[in-house]
Amino acid sequence: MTADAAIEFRSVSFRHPASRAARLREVLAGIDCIVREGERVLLTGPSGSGKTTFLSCCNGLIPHARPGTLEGDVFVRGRNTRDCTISDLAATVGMVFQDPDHQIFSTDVVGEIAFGPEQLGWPPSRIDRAVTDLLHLLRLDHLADRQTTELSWGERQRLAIASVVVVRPAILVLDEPLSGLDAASAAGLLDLLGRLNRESGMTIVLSEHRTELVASWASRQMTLVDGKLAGDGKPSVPCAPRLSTAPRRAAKAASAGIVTLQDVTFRHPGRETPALDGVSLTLYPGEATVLAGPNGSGKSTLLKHLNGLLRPESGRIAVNGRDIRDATVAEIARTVGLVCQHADYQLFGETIAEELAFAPANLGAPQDVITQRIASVREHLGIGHLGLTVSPLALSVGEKQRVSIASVLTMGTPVLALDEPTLGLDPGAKQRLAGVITTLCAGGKAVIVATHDAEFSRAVADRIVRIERGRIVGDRRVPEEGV
Amino acid sequence: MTAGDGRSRRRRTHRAVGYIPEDSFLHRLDPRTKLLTLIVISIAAFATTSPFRTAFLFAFVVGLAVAAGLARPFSRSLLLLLPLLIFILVIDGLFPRETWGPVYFSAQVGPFTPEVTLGGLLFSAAMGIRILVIGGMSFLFVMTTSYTDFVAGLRTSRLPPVIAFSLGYALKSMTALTEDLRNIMDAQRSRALEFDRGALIKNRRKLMALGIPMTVSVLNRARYVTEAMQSRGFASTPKPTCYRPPRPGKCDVLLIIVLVVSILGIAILPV
Repeated sequence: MTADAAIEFRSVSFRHPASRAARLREVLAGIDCIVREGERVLLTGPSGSGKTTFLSCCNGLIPHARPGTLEGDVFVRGRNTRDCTISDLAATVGMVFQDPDHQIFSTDVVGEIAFGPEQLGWPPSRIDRAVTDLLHLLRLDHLADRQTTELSWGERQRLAIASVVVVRPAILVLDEPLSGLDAASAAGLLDLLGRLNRESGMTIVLSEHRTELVASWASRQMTLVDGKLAGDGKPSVPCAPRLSTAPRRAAKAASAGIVTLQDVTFRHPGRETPALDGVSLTLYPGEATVLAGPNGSGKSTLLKHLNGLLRPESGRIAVNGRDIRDATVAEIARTVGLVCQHADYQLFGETIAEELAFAPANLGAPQDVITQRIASVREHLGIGHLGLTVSPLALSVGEKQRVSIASVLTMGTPVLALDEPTLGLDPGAKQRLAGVITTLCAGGKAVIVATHDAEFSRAVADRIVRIERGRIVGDRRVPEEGV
Repeated sequence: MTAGDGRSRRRRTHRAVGYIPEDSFLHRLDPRTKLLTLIVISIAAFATTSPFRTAFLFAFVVGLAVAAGLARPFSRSLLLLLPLLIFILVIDGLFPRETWGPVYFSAQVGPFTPEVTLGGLLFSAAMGIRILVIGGMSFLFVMTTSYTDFVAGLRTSRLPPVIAFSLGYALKSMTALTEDLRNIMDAQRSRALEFDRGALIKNRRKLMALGIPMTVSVLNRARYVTEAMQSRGFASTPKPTCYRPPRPGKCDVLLIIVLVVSILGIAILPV
């Protein structure tokens, strides 16, 4: 055992139980590595390469909570994870999950942060000090009296980290903490993690697809491919191949808009501040519009207005020149296809084929058209290798996301709206999606994408609309040569 | 059905039952006081078959809802009880366990002999109101008690942490499930699935499109919460700290007094 080893993997392999799709069963294969005290490790690799499984081994979720077979041993500060429970390791290893909503279970901010210290039996006065100090350190003081359900994604992400860091674990493990964060929030989070590392010597292991943001922060980069450690060394900038920028098309602003929002205002039930405040926007055929803005600025709310899932308090929305006030969502869906954020809320088919045929069948498309669309979408999104008979529920997070996008693309609507489509996608999958959007626009379709991913935005945008606090504060077309 | 109708249905689903973050006197009460009130009211409702006594109990529950400024969400939540209410009124009206007075209707239908009497009607009314009393008080409890407060209350009552957190999670799930249902319906509507046309129960595709993601969501949520709690040291010490234990105040004492007086008053009603 190396003296300064924080985490040590010795010949570690992990296999999921036989119920999973065959190619997903072996997720780690013969991993040998040592993470030393105080290191800042960036863990990269394509979707399904085993990053989450690797991290789950660090705090004992594997072998104690996740079904499957672990071979080899994982040591955390000299303790074999097989010999201690997850709770025993909690004071040493803090784990921040990929989706803050999977982690936050209290209804109020302070209660959430205090949970860990309560479980460790700290006296109330110590918990009080720790919570106050941490809220200040993470610049979350203003959220102390808030309900967790009222927080934006970025705020929830910070809260999830606060609730783990509060017990000052020696090791912090984070699973894609930057996904869903805008560039400023991501930079703020990395700054915070850097401070924790410098001030308390905390060892940090972080998995991330957005390597361009993390490479300069990390002291070491480990790359997993097909469950094997394919790279281990100094981080390189850029770490991942950059997305190629789409050849710019001539802006179609002169043609008539296909979707028009006029002075749209919307308030969520029970809220005084409007989520959309006098928004006017026109989407044009052949143009890819990127909707940018900080977390909680109203991007998802705006997209849900395009297909009638939300109706404006005041203002008018027209699709193909027709006011959609009295149209049902299903009627509007003939023109506007919307890909929602969470694939799990959508997928239900027994097979991928059934999932992809669901929406066009609802629109009454003939079988031969559906078959042709499915083939085309599978090829363009690179999901052909998954087969058509596999259950979408057995796929990895990134694969589910791609199937979810594909299941809306098969509708063949003239307008496509995508809400954070790159969540969980690796650079290769993002590149394919960018190509699909470029092709759709070249074919005269209007595409609008809400995303925090600056690199993806650069790759697809003909036009960038910036929204802040429910108002459009910027609207510019991207020059032909690039951004 | 117009889009507007669909929208209003969606809002009802969203807000029918679940914690409502407000600052009413019911919200500020010690959760143990509310739990005690719920238990006492439920026992009282079960202890009587008089429609007048149960009606007074229901008036007490409605009074609490109005005083807390929750009349609208409370009345919306009662609509959820409507199918059960109709079922009980029909069954107890035709086949009452207590029957007396003039017979308004009597028949032989196969092996059954339904009979409508004055006593039977009063009995079925009492059973229906009983459902409203217990259901209404339960909804009020859910609407005004946060997960954190509820768990703290149970832990202060020396309930084992595993049971306290399990009960708390069950309470929280009521809110989470309605939120999940809304998101799933949004995702499927976006793929041109019409929920507003035709009976949902008769359409296998619609049921699958809702049921499977809901099942996956419930199972996943339980797994995520378990893992998140264990990862933060749940049950690592036999006596975890209760950081902010609830403390009963003047309102708690006042409610208990009003409750006791009301129950005694209802008990001695000459009915």
